[in-house]
Order: sequence, then C-alpha cells, then structure tokens
Amino acid sequence: MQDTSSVHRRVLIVIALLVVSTIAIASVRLYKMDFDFGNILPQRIYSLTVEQEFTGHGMPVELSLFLPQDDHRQRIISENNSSENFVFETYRENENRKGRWSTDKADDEQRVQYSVTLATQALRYEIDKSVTMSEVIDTAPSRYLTATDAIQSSSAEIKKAARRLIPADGTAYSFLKNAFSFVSKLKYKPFKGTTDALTALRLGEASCNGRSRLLVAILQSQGIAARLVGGIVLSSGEKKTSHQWIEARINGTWIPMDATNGHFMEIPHHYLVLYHGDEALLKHTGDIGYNYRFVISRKMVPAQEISEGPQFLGFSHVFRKLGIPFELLKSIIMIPLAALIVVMFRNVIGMHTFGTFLPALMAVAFRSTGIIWGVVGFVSIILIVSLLRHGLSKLQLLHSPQLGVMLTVVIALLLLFAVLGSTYSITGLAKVSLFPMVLVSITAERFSIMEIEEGRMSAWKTMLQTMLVVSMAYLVMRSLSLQVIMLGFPELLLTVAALNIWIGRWVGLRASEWFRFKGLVFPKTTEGAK
Amino acid sequence: MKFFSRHFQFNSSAVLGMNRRNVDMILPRNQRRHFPLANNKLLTKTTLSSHGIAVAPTIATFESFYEIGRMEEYLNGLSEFVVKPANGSGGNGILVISERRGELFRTAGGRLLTRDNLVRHIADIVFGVYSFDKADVAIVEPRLQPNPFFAGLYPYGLSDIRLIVVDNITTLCMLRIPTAESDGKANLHQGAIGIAVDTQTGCTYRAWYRKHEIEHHPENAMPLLQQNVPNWNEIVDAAVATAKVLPLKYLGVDMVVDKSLGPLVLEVNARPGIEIQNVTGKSLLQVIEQNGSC
Repeated sequence: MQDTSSVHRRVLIVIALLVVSTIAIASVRLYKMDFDFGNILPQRIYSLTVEQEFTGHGMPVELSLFLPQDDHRQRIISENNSSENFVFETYRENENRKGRWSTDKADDEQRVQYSVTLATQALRYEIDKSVTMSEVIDTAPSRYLTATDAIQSSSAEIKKAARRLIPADGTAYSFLKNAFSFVSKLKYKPFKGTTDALTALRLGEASCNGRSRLLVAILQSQGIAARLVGGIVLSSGEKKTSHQWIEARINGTWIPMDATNGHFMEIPHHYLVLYHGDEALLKHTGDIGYNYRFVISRKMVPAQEISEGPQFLGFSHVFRKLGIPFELLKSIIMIPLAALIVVMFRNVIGMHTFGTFLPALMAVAFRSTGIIWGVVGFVSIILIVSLLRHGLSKLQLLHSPQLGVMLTVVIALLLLFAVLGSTYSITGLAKVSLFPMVLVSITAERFSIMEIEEGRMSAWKTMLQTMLVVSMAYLVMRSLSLQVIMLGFPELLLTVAALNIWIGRWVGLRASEWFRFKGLVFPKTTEGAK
Repeated sequence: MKFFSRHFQFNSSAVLGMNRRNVDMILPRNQRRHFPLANNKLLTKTTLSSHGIAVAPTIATFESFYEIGRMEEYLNGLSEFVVKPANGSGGNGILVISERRGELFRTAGGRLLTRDNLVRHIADIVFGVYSFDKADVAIVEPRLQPNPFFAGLYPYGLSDIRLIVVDNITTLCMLRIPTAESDGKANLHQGAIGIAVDTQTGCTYRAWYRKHEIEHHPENAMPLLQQNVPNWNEIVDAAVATAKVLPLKYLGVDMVVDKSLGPLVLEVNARPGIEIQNVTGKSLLQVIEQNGSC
C-alpha cells in the first residue's frame, strides 16, 4: 500500500504548480507583452442581408447596390453573395464601392442575396472650437463645395437662411451647431421619395434625405465642404428603409452629423456607411416588379473572432492562417470546461451518464442544432437504433458486425434528419446530421444493453441524466463570458487541469449518496434503542 | 492534507462513498496490473487452488474456436453444468444447464437449448461478446448444489456470500439470496435479498430488500434473522487466505457453500461495491477504522 500522505503532498504540489503557472503566464502577458484588454473583451457584430427580388420577362436585367468598405470605424468580417443566374461584379465609383448583378435574360421570379458581417465602432469627434469659419482649410474634392440640382447651395434663399446661422463669434464650431439645430427643428416627415434642399427649407419639413441635403447646402453656401452619407441603421429585424446623414470637412477630417436622429459630431455604433455623395443605394432596370428588404441581426462575439493581428500565445491568429474556422477553435478551447462540468456532475453530484465525455462532445454538437433539436435528434436516434438492436439480436450476429449495422443505420438517420430539416426549413434539425456518429452508435449500443441488463427504467433514467449533463455542458460552452475568458487567457487550461486533479482526489460523498445511504448518513435516533 | 479528505463531508465516516472507495481504498491497495487476478476467473481459480484454497472445480475450458468441436468429449454424460466467460462481469454470459435430454439442454430458467445453441453460446464467449470484444475463455463448471441452509432460504437459485476483506481482515459480510423477482440471480440491484452476517459469529442480524429492512423472505416467509451460517469459520478462513494469496488488499470475495464440496471461492472482485453498507447498516469506513487497518 502506498503512503497516502505522500500522494497528497504530490497532488498539492502539482495543483500549486499548475495554478502558479497560470498566474505567471497571465502576468507576463499582462505586464510585459503590451497586453490590451480591448483585444479580448467581447465585441458586437452585425449581420446584414440585402434581399432583392423581381419577376423578369425575358429581357436583360441589371441591379446595383452600394457595398460597405473597410474604414477607420467599420470592418467587414465576411461577405457573401448568392445569385445563381447572375454575373456578380464589384467595382469602384468615386470613393464608393458598388456591386452589380447582371444577366442577359431574366425570366420568372429571381432573387439575389448579398450578406455581410461587420464590426463597427461608435465615434465622437472634437474640433478646435476657436477656429473661425474663414480659417477652415478644406482639401476636399471640389464637388463637395459645388451646388447641384438637389443641393442648391448657391440659391439666394439657402444663402439667406445660412447667414442667419452665422454666430457672433464667427467660429466654425458654433456655425455647425447652429446649422445642425436649425435643420433638426424641421418637422419630420416620413420618407416619400427624394426631397431637395430648397424644398425642405421652403416646406419646413423633410425626412432624413431632405434634412441632410439642406444641411449640406447650408454648409456649402458658407464655404464649408460637406457631403451626403448613405447607409443603414443596423437595428435587428427586417426593414426597407435606408438612412442618410452628412459629413462636413473641417481641417482635413470628415465630421459626421445626423440632424434626423440628433447625432452632432458623432456616429453611433449601429450606423453602417455604404456610400458618400448624393446617390441612390439601390438601382434596378425598370418594369420588373422589383422588391427588396434588409434583414439585420446582431450578436456579441469574443474579440479574437474578428481581430486580425497576431498576439502572444495568439493561437486564434494561427488557426485563421490555417483556414480553420473560428467556431471550431471556440469549441476546442471550451471542451475542457465542458468536460469539467461532466466530471463535476459525475463525481460530485453522482449522476450517471452514457460515457464519460460523451456529454461534453454532444454539447459541442448541440452548438449547431440548439438544445431542443439536439435533444430531440439524439433521443430519437438512440431510441430507433436501440429498437433496431433488439431486432438484430434475433439474427444472433457477432458483436462487431452488429455494431457496423447500427452505425450504418445511425448515418442513414442523420441523412434523413438533414433532408427533413432542409425540406421543412428547420436548421436545427438539419444540423443533427453533424452529430458524432460513432459516439451516437456506441451510446445506442450501451443504452440497449442497459435496457436488457438493468431494465428499461434505469436506461431511461441514465438517458435523462445524460441529457441534463449535456445541457449544462452546452450552456457552459455557449457562455460568451466564459468564451472570452478562455480565449483571452488560454493559460487557464492549466487551472482546469488542476481542478480536475482536485476533484480526482476529492473523497467526499456524492450528492446522490446522501440519498442512497440516508439510513447511515442520517441515522434515526430510535434505532439505537431497538 | 486533511483538506482533501474532510472537505464537504459532514460526518466523514458515516458511510464509505464511491469517491473515497476509489481514492482511499482501491487506488492505494489494488494496483491495476493485479486486476487480471480478479477479473479473469480462470486465473483466479488456478492461483487460489495452487495455494490450496477450495474453488469450484473446472470441467473444461475452451480457448479457441477450434476447441469447441471437442465439446462433446467434455460434456458427455453431463446433464447439469454451468458455462461462463472467464472475463465476464455482472453475471453476463453465464449459462446454467439443469437438465439434458439427448441433444436438448434445459437452462435453470427453463429455456430449452439445442446443441447448436450451446455451441454458439460458447463461441460467443470465446469471441469476446461478454468481455468487450477481447478474446476470452469459456469455462465449464459443475452446477453447484446449495447447502441445505441456503437451499432452505431459497431453493431455486444459488445464494452466495460476499465478504469485503481489507488488508487481510474481514470487515463486512453479507449473504445474497435470490428471489423469483431477481430471476434466481444473487444480484441486489435485480431484487435479490442481502442479509448481513456477523463476521465473528456467522449469525445473521439484518436483512435488506428493495431498500428496506425486512425480517422474512418476501416470497416464502422464511425467517432471515438470527440464523447461523454453516461452516462460518471455514468461510472466513478461506476468504482471508484468498486475500493473503492475492496482491489485492481491498477485495470482495464471493463464496458459495456446496452441499458436498463445502465452502468454495466462486470469484473475487477488485472493485467491490458499497451497497453492502446498506445491507449491514454499518459504515465500511468505521469498521476499517475500528480494525485499525486504515
């Protein structure tokens, strides 16, 4: 028999080493490696899908759309176009980027879909408040100082209105502020086509594009370069409205202003810039029964999912270089945590599960199906395959070939789920086909053997407990904060190992044993008198 | 160091839990490399009998498919026998033949088997169906006849005695009496009765059935308490001798008392369960501490 206390000492030393290493590595990174918390905190990203539909009748059709570009406050993470019957090309037009879908002959109902995932930033601008209007140096293209048909900056009416807004101190800042307030006070009128600057001024009411044109015209009339900005306000849901605001050129910087929503010298997080200038976001060939919509969603993701630069222990960078999806990396780094949850449920709570780490791996699979379809898919496959095994046992097959048959049926079922899921547009169900099939087959085998040897009741009890533990592991894996912590401090894996070692030496009663041995743990006082 | 052993446990010795059984009992006492001595019933039998400990006799062993052809030779004239896998667990793969009529065999459960069925069962064992796909050995043993004391408690199945021997000292003992409900099997989870036996005197003092204390057999009303188990000293001696021979210091010894052969070691278990504490109403931990071996 080995000396128990020397084992305990060894265990404590190993645990201490692991925890100290975790802290040491984290400290080195925090203090020596120019660590930036901004690089690990979760970030909000947006998904935008522009769907365009029309009905063609055999003639050439062309659609165009301004596409987002990377700049100092917005960054494209991924972009995807799906338009089977069209030639899709992107090209530049002034400082803008455009996408064009074209075909020589379009028949019946057609659909093009452009999706983009982006990270954006809210920005607030400051300018030197003492700079006077005449001191403002502009380096902008001359077209941003020139009147157009819709932005009548040379009109006497506009000039007159603008002069009234010139502040006593003559500073550019106060002028901007006055102009902004003036336009903001216009009565809001819901979007009805295009409103030019002069009309907006005369009516005293306008939607976002009228206000913006008027504001641009006022600024231009006093020699400050300004331009329209078109884009989309990224609030979750479906909509058809785009948005326009303006930018004024002050000392070499374009300063954003949205008089419709009251953003003065700032641009909020959820504004997506698509183009600059007085443009139409979408254009299409006429007479095609055209329709479109924007579908927007947002979510929080760990920063590494969207950041680019390499960092110390920056395996996310390495994974990206290898072309391995970030989702996979996230799963991999969270598996030890999920496994720790399983270990706790087994050894501290005393739950029975099929397999030791099956629940952790199923939790990974549940990430794509979601918990409900995951459980439905898993339980129904196990049920069907264990029924099959009862049938197979009548054929008296040897063990391995029988398992082979079961695996085949599992795969057939996974394919069936994929077909059913896609036919009825249930993504969760379709993703059941990504389940780890060998594990599922082996679980079906174990379930079926347990049914025979220990009764249907205990097999289903174990199934229920397995699903419960899978759900817990799933919640842990899905937790954004835990993902952020694990991705930001991967050295915590050492501490996870230390926790496993601690549980591995923990000799306390499992919660279930308090019930199993309740007669011994909570002896009745009368018993002694017997 | 007490941090590990005491944390989270209110009455730390009230019962030996699974975690403590594994960490404090099995891991320091039973080394993995010695497990085959317990897991392989054939190896257990040869080891024990070479040290003069009584075990169930072996009629034949089948180690390969080729040998199964010689089954007739061995079974000629035998009408009652048991076929079991050397590496089976939980009683799986054990076939008890109680009667033979020419080419037909009747199991203790009443099922009729042809000669081919029997050959197939032996082949299954050899191919590892009951031993996680590892090739195994099929053992044929005579069907043991229970001593009248055990037959009196339940005549239609084989009762056994489980002794937990820790550091060569007997700690807790119980009888496992099958019921009709347990299908003649001495398995507590399947509805067999556990009866606590005083290690010193061999006298029964507590009976446990379906998580409750009972005093009589639920099916035939036989009194279960204050009964003296026959050959008790021999039983304890054989169990302790078994523990001394094997390098497993936390050991479950399963024995039977045959009508003519007396106490025999049936098999040993290197990871014996902890349900015996519910049967005896005693904590293994306290008994071991009292014995001064822990």
